[in-house]
Amino acid sequence: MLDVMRRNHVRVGGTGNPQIVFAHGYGCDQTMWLDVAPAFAATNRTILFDHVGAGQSDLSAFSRSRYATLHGYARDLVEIIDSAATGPVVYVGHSVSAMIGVLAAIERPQAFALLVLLTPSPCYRNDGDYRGGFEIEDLEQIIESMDANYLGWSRSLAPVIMGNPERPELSEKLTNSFCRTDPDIARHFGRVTFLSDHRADLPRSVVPSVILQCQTDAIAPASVGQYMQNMMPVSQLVELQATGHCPHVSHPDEVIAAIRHAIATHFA
Amino acid sequence: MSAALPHPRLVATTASYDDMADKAPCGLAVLDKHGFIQALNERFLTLAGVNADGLLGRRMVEILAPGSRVLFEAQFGPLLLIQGQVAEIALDIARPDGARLPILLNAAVDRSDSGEEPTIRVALIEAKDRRRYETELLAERRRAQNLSEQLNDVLESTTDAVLAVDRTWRLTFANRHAHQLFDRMRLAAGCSFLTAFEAIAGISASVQLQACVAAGVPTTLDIYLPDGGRWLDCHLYPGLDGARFFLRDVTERRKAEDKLRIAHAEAAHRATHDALTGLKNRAAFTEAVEARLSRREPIIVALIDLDRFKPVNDTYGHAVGDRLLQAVAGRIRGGVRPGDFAARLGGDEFAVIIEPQSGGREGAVEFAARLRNAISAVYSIDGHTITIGASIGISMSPEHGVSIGELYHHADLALYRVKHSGRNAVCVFDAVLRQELEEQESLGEDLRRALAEGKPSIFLVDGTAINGDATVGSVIAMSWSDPRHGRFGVREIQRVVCAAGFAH
Repeated sequence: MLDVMRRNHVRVGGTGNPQIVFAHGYGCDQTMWLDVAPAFAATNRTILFDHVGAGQSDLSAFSRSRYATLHGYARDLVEIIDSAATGPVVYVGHSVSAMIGVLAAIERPQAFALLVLLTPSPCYRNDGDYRGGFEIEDLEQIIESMDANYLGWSRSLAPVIMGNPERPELSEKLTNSFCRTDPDIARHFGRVTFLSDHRADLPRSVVPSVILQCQTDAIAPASVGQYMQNMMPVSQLVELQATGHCPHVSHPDEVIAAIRHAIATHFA
Repeated sequence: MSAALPHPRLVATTASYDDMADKAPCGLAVLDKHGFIQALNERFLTLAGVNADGLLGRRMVEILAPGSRVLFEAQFGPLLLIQGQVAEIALDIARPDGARLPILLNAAVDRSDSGEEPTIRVALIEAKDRRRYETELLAERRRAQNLSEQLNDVLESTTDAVLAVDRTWRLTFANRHAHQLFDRMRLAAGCSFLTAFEAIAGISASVQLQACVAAGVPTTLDIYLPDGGRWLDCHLYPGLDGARFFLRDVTERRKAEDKLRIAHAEAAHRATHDALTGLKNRAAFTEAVEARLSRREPIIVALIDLDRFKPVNDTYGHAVGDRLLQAVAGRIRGGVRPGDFAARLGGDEFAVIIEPQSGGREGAVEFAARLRNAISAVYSIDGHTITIGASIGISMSPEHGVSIGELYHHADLALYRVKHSGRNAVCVFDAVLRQELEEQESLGEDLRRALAEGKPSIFLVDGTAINGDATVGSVIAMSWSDPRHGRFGVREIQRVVCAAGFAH
C-alpha cells in the first residue's frame, strides 16, 4: 500500500473542526508554517506535509514523469487529504501550493470547504495584457540562480544548508533538516513552478477561495491577485499590510488573523 | 607577564567605526525585518550602481536581478528570518546599465536586547571570478555526469558482468549483471571482491586471478563455477589504481563447442577406424605404411587372413561371424606391442605393422607366430565353441620393396604360400618366392602375348573361355604349349593368370 503519510512526511496536530491543511511553497518545507500552524492547534486539527523532494519527504518517491506538472503535486494533495483528514478541509496554500490547491479542488471539490491562497500566482510570465511579473528570460535566470547556489551541494550535504540557528526553539534536528532539498529535484520543482501557466484553470474552481495578497511582493505583483479574483467564480481578495512573498514568516500574526477571519466568515 | 592588551573596541571612536564601515571592501547595509534598507555604506552603492537616494527606504530585493529576487524572496529571505542567518548566498545584482553583477551575500538578524524591532545586517562581496569558475565547474560537472551516465548505460546494457576494484580489491563498481552473477554473495560497495569471487569460484581460481592481476597485463581466464557447473570467460584489465573485470557466462557456448568437438572427433575416428572391431581401417593402415616409407623407416608388414572363417559365417550366421571378428580383433589388440599398428583391412583380413625391434626378421616371425597362436585359440561365442586359424604373410622394407604396393603384394604372396601349404602358419616373403614371382611374371607376359597373337585355342579359367580379347563361351579344358616353357596344364595356367593379374 502506498504510504502517503511517510512519502509526504505528513504531521498532524491540534484538534477541532474544520481541519486545516497547510501547504508550503517552492524553496522550503512545512517548517515555513512554524509561526502560524501552532496558533490553530487549540481550535483546529492541523495537517502539515512536505512536497515530494522537499523537507523530510521520501526522495525515492520522486519521479520526473509524475511531477512533470503541478497536477502530480495536486494528486498527492488529494491523497494526503484522503489519508489524513476527515470531512472537507480548509486548505491554506502558499505560493505555488496555492495553485496546487486550486487544481486539487477542481479534481475533488468535495474534499475542500475553503481555499486560502497565500500570495498565489497562476502564471509568473508576462503574456500580452497579463502581467505575471517576469519575462521568460527572467524565469530562466531563476534556474541559473539555483545552480549558482546548489552548485556546491552534494546530495549528502544538501540537508545542512546553513548552520547556527539563532532561534533556540528550532531543535538541532529540525535545523539540519530545515528546508533540505535535493538539488536536482529542487531544480525540477523550480522549473515546473515558475514555468507553469494555470490561468485557464481558475474559472473551473468552484470551491470558495480567499486570496491573501501582500504589498510589494517581488514574486506575485498586486495585479495578479486582482486577476485571480476576477477569474475565480467564488473568490474574495484580501490585501494584507505585510510585505514580501512570505508573510507567514515575516508577518505571522497578520496571516493568522486573516486565516481566522476567512474561516469565521465562511463557516458563519 | 605582560599586561593584557586593551580590546580594540575600547579604544576606537565612533567616527573611526563609521570610517571603517564606509571604506570597507564589501557592501554593508542594515535592513528592517521586512527587508527595507535603513542604512548602507559606499561600497554597497557602488555595487548596486545607484546613489543613496535611490535606495534608502526601498526593499533590498529590488536591486536584485529577477531570478535572484525570486529565489531570495521565496527561499533565502524566509530562511534568514527563521534561522537568524544565511551565508554565501549567490545572487546577481541588476545594475541600472543592464549588467548583472554576481555577488555573495551574508546576512544575520540582529535582535537587540532593548525590545526594539530586530534588524538585519547584510554584507555583500563581488564574486565575478568565483561565479565564472563555478559556472565552468558546474558545466564540467554536468558533462562528467552525462559521460558517466552514458558510460553507465553502456555498462548496464552489456550482457557481461562488469566489476572494478581498487588496489586493495575493494569493489568500486559492479553493474546489474555482476549483481545477478554474484547473487549468493551480495556485492556491497566497498566489499572485498576477492571474498565474493572466492565464494563462487573457489580458492584456486581466486589465487589464479590474483596472480594475473599482479602480473599487470590484460589476460583472459576460464573460470569454472562448481555451483551450477557454469563456465565464465574472465577478461581482466589490471591498472595502477586496481583492476577491472568483464565476466561472461560462456556455459552454453562451451557446451556447443564440446558437442562440436566430440562430433569432429567421432567423424575423425570413423574415418580411420573400422566400425565393427574398433581397429584402424584400411585407409589408416595405408597412410601409416606410406608415412613410415616416406620417412624411409624400416618397416615390417604382416597380412593376416583368417582360416575357415567363411564356414563359421555360413553355419552360425553373420551376427556370430561379426562377434568372432570382434573377438579376433581383441586378441590382435592384446597381442600387439606399443608401437605396433593393428588394422582390419576388410572381411576376415587383418594387418599389423610390426615395429622393427631387436631380433629383426626372426623377431618379427616370432611375434607373428605368437599372434597366430593367439588367434587360433578356441573361441566361445554365444555358446558355440569355435576354432579358426590364421595365415600370416610378412614382407619388409627396404628388403622387399620401398612402395606400399610392393610390400603389400609381397606379403600377400607369402600369405598365399601359407594358404596353399596347409594354412595356419607364418611365411616371410623370400628369394624363392621372389623367383617364383619373377617366373610367373615372365610366364604371364608370354601368355598375354600368346593370347594377343591368337595362338592357343584355350582355355578354361572358371568356366569362361577367352580367345584373344573375346569371350567365346564355355570351354571345359585347355592347354598351352610354349617353346620356352613347354606345355602347361589347366592348374598352371590358372596360377599364372592369377599371379600375373589378368582380370579375365
